[in-house]
Amino acid sequence: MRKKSLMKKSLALVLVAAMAAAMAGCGGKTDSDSSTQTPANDSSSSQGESSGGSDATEGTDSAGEADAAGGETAAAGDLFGDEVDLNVMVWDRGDAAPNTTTEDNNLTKWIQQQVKEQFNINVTYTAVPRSESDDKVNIMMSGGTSPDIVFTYDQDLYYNYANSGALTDLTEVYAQYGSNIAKYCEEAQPIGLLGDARYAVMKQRGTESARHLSYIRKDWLDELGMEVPKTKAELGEYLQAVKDKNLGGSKTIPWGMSGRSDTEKGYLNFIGSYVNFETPCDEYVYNETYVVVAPGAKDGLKQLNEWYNAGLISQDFPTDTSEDVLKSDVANGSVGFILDDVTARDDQIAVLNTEIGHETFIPVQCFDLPDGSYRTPFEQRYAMFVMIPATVSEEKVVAAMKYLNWMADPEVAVNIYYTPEHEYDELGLPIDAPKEKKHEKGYPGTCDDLSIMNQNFEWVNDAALNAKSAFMNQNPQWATEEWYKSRSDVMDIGKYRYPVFSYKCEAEQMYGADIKTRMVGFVYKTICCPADQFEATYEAGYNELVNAGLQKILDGRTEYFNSQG
Amino acid sequence: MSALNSKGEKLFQLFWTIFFILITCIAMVPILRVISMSFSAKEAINASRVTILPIGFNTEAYVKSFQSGSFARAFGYSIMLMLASTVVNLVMTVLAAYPLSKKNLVGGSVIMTMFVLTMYLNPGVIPEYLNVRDFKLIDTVWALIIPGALSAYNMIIMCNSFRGIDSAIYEAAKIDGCSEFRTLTSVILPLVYPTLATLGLFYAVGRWNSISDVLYYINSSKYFTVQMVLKQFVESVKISVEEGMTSNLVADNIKSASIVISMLPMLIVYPFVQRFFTKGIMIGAVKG
Repeated sequence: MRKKSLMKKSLALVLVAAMAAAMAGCGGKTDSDSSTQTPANDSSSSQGESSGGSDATEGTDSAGEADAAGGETAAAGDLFGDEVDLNVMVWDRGDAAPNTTTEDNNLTKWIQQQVKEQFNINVTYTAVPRSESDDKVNIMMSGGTSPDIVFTYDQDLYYNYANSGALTDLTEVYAQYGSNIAKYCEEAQPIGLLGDARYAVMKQRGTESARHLSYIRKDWLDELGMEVPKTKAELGEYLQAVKDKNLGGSKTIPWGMSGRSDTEKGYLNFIGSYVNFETPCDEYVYNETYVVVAPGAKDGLKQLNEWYNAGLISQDFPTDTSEDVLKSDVANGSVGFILDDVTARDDQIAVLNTEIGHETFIPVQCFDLPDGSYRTPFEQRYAMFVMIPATVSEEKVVAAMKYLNWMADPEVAVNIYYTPEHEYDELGLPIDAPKEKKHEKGYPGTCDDLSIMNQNFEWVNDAALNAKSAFMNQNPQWATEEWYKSRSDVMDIGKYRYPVFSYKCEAEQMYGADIKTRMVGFVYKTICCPADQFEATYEAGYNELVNAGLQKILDGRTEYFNSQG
Repeated sequence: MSALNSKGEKLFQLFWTIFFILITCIAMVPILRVISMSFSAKEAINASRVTILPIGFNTEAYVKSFQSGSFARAFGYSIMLMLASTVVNLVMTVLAAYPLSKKNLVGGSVIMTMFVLTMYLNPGVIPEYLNVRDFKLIDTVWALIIPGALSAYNMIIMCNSFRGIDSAIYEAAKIDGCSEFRTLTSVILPLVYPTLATLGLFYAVGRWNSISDVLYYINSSKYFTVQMVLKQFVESVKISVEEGMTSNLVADNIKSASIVISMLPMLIVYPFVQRFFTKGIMIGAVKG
């Protein structure tokens, strides 16, 4: 008997394995099918974001508004409909308050109550680990078990879903129920359109910020009797002078760099300043991702290579992948210049300022373009692509849009971002309470994860107010109010946004991610090679990129831009 | 232990001893750094000054780690899950291995081949997900226990260790009137306890470290394991780049403290089970 039952168990196991193996075949086919599908909407136009100039919002036109105005907007009375259950994705960052979860806490309860009262919608949440978000969404979408509202930062993922029919067309429901989104998150909406159809509504970012920013040691400039540099040539003189005078002691590093392999922040603005966009097409084709292979960028690489070999840049910086060496060098006062994410080095500058007892690094823009002007790439105005899977029923789609539209209202967004029990500081701004305080009241550590539409509060782009607020809230006191103000002023010099489209050419879908990683390696190699091997290293690296699909991507992007007339 | 005779042998022994001590030291550096960061002041970590000794010693990070609802809950839950999962794993392994170790089992070699096949045929993530979904296991603890309830590789090790026991012992048990079940539990299992302990450790470590099944099958954060919570902490910097924000980052000292705490169960268990390692694996290696 036992033998028989064991036999049965074993056979059951084998059967399970066989079934799974059989399904593997089906799954694989589906995958490859969707990845090689030709874009259905090739020729139809997509709305791009602003394409340059100092007025970044210019050119966003009012696709959002037009969208929402095109249909009949629902009256307030229509919004309370039949009872609907709605399941919404929420990011889990492991920071829920004790005895609560990401899906069930005082903030979710507040939202649930509001939405129930106003729209008769019963909201529940599905927790998705933040760092694995896209993988998890993919799995749930493939298995047909996804929540009714999902989101991602990944444009490729959005494009793939939209293109393969995995998303609900939101055009009409957005026109009918999306008035708040169109009104308050307007700048972000164009990218959610694919052709004339809307497959995503976009979360709008808050404070406008440059992608990257440079900082220079003002106290060293004073010591050297030099002015704050305005050009790359002046920067070169400063770096050389710092090196010659060993201003940072025996370990002086005129330009501190790190070797993160997932971002181009350490060199992008500098190399980009050698690139002159002659046509709007160039701006699109050689956007931030491809600017290091744009015409002219080679000169920037060559300059960095010369400086590296002259000992002006951190030696062996590509090995500092965790940035520990850079952090330590900045905090210890060895570094004279950095180019990084805007606030990434604040902690180290704070340590340095506190120890030295006076101001050290100041923000600077000295990467002059060939025509003498400046270009400071800014973050796009959109954040996540908020999507509704095609499997969601019509009544839930309506409920989902009502939910998102409600959340786009700035008053609601403030109540979620800062908690419904938020307090105001003396400037009249809501206080973002520390995690411990939020936990005491049963709110999650990152309340923003439940506010998935709008961060564009009315004060977020008031530079003077923000500088005052940042100054007041710093701990320890390490920078003056003027310093914060100068940061936003410097960022604004040559404020620029690359044009974007929701469309991705086939080559970019296929090779884009790989090329992006390879390009970081390509730049590091060309900067660090001996000066006499620069040409050979550059050629070899560039050819490698071309072989890996770079040229196909550039051709695909050019073709698409030209097809837009 | 035999004495070392020649000078050459002593030198040989000395060289390898020093060599492995050095290797151990190199392996210890990152662990020591994480431990010292967990006890260091935030400012020292921000300035990247902490190496292998804490700077500004304090235990605040540990207190805060346990104050975070998610981590404390996930830690307790992960220990329970690991224990439950290991028990299920061992029961399944023993019950599959014991009959297959018998030479006279009808179709034994066919069944064994089928088990071995599962080691080579991996269905892939999506089919596995669909399978688990169709069994209605999504978002249940069982999704973390049943799909991995038996490892064919471990089952073969167990099977070989059963085969390594002298057949006279089986006969003696039979003559004394033991049923097969009694023979297994009272006579055979005590003889293979080193293998059992070793496999138990393999299963436990595997469960403790596993993250992908939690990601795929679990939708409620109350079922997230400690490794999943830890991953969110560790990758918070990378994520902040995508989100264009620097606020709400998990402080490095709390991150380090969480890593140290999550290492503790394994660090505590290993020394006790380690002595079985060689013995346990070798029992199954040579058929007696």
